[in-house]
Amino acid sequence: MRLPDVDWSVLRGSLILGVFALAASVALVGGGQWFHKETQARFDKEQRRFQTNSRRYLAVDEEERLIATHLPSYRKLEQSGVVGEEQRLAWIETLREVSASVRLPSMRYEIQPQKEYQPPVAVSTGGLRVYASPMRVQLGLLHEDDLFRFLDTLAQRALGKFSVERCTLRRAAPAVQTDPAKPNLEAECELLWLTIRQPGEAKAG
Amino acid sequence: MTSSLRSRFSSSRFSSRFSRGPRRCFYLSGSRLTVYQWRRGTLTDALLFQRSDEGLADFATYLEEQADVPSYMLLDLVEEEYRRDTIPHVFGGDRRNVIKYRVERAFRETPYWHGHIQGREPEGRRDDRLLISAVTNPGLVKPWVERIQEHKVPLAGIYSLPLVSAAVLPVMEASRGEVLLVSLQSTGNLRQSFFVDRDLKLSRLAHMPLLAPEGVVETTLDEVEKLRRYLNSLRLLRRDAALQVYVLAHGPVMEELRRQAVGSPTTAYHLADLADLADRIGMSPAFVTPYADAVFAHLLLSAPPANHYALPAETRYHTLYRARGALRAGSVALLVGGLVGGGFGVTEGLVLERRAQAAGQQADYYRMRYEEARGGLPPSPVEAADLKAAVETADALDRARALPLPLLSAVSQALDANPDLQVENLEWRVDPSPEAAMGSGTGGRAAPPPGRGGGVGAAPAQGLYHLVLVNGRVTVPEGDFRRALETVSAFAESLRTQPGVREVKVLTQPLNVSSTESLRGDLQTRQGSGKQDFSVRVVFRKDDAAA
Repeated sequence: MRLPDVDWSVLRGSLILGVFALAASVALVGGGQWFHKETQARFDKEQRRFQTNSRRYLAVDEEERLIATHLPSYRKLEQSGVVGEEQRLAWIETLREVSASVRLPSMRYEIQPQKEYQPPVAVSTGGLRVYASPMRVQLGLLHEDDLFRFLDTLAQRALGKFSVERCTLRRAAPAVQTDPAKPNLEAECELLWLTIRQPGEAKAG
Repeated sequence: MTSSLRSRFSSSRFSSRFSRGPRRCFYLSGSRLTVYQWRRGTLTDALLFQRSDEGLADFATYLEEQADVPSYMLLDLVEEEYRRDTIPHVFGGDRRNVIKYRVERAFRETPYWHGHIQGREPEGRRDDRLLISAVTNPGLVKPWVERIQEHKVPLAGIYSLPLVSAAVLPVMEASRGEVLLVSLQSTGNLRQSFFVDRDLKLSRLAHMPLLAPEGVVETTLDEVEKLRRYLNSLRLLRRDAALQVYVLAHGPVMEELRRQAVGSPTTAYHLADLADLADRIGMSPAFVTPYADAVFAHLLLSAPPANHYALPAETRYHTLYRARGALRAGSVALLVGGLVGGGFGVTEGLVLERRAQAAGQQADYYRMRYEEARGGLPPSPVEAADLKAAVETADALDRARALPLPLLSAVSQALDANPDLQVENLEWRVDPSPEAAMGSGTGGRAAPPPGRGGGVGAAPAQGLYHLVLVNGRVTVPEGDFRRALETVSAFAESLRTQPGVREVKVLTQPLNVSSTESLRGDLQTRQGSGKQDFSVRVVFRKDDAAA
């Protein structure tokens, strides 16, 4: 039968029914799938919550032991600036104090933005992360021992932990000078200032 | 006016053998048309329309009320002729063209013709046997078909009664040999159809005068004898063969036939009571009469063959009707599929919903129990596990902490032991590889140490090496190269004795005395002099120093 021979008045109702059936079928299947997906997500969420809560409840004795064992050390780390927000102002003040204490002829520093840091040894950080702020210091020295004293004093007084990545030492003058304002040696060191905190805890400024 | 022959019968009285939908047969016999209606596998009703203006108008009214029923038109006409022919054994379009040519030659004036291939000739080039049947007076059919088309009735086909009547032969176990099927029709005519191995060869409708049963039987037997002689003359029946005559009758005519139809060497009679036949084919006994019309209508509707006479334009509403049925069936299937698919998703979802509620209640229960138990513990700023992790991480950072003091102290002690050496510059760094390149400035590092800064890289399991490059000058009397070399060697040896020092390598000697290098100089100037008199590379490891 050719298309022009088709009497559409005979088929119209069935065609409309077919379109409606197709739409209804798609809607029914889609709705069913959507409902199934939604309830599956809700079930997964509740199941995870149940597993977490039951695990925590069963581990409450262990939690008590962990708190009793590690909370004092954790508080000390907080007080020493190792845990929590980095203390840039305190660092700068400490750098100035140490520089004055060692009587360095000159000191310059540059601290870069903080980034997440992967410790060089295997350790589980749990829900916490280690962050590092790269810092470069340029020191004018009268004697090479001044570098040792600077780093040693910094390690004792500074809040938080730091690790030295690189140091170069070079002669600043051809002959040794006795003027305390003029350095005989120049040192440049790259440090990483490390802090431990929860992800996303950093404050701007 | 429309009159009902069997309107008192209700379809509910009859058992249903089939679950087929409603359909009907337009039984056209010359001057009248009988509508046999069919529902649930059996005839249910019959309507009679005369071929007159009034009858055709009634028929149109009836169709208007019941247009949407698949219909089959069965022709029982005197004006139907048969021609036997042979055509070359060809296929497809060629066969159609040959048949059409033969039909046009035999029946020029009618659009209603049908060509039926009935096997092949046993000899010669084995041509196909062709039976052509045609309605020689299409004007008998047209008025009815026009009204059928006007009302968009789904007409499946127009059929020849003699061809359809072949379906009754297997019921009477008369499928083989030369068989003459004889039946009385409601028009008062006698239908005689001759079959050979169930293939129709000719059919004849003889007028039967209104007589008593004895007269009807006498006329029937006379007509049979005349036809037998005609078949002999056509050589369709061998003279020594007995013609197997099957007579369909009922009531007094059948009783009279049993008395008179005794048979002879040339004719054998088989009498089939229409009541028994109706029972065998599943036809309602309400339609059993002395006439065989209803039997043929029942046979047509119970297993409709392919169309015989109808033109494509006359069956187009049946095609549309089937398309509409397919669309409706498809729609229902879609809806059922959607309901099943959607229902499955909803059912699964409801099960998950109940499980989620149960899990949520359990989670709340354990949360309350945990909070009760947790009430006795000191407050912690972070999770207890993170307290431990923070302390252990801080310890790990302490262990991994790099400071230049140990190695630079070692270098300083070695320099103190060799006062002739003067350091020009010194570079210290940490690296996971003891072979890392060193040089002045920040560009000397081969690659940044993994795990340091930027949060990338994995922690090296073996820890880090401290590397120092010392560039300096040795002060000795001019030209005393031996002493200069000894001084640098002593410095290197002194370094090697320091704890944690793994390797000491003199990279540049005050004088290169290697046999592979050229050496030049004069007594007035220092040999091999340069900006750096010597350079020493030291590899140190903190763990070794601690051990």
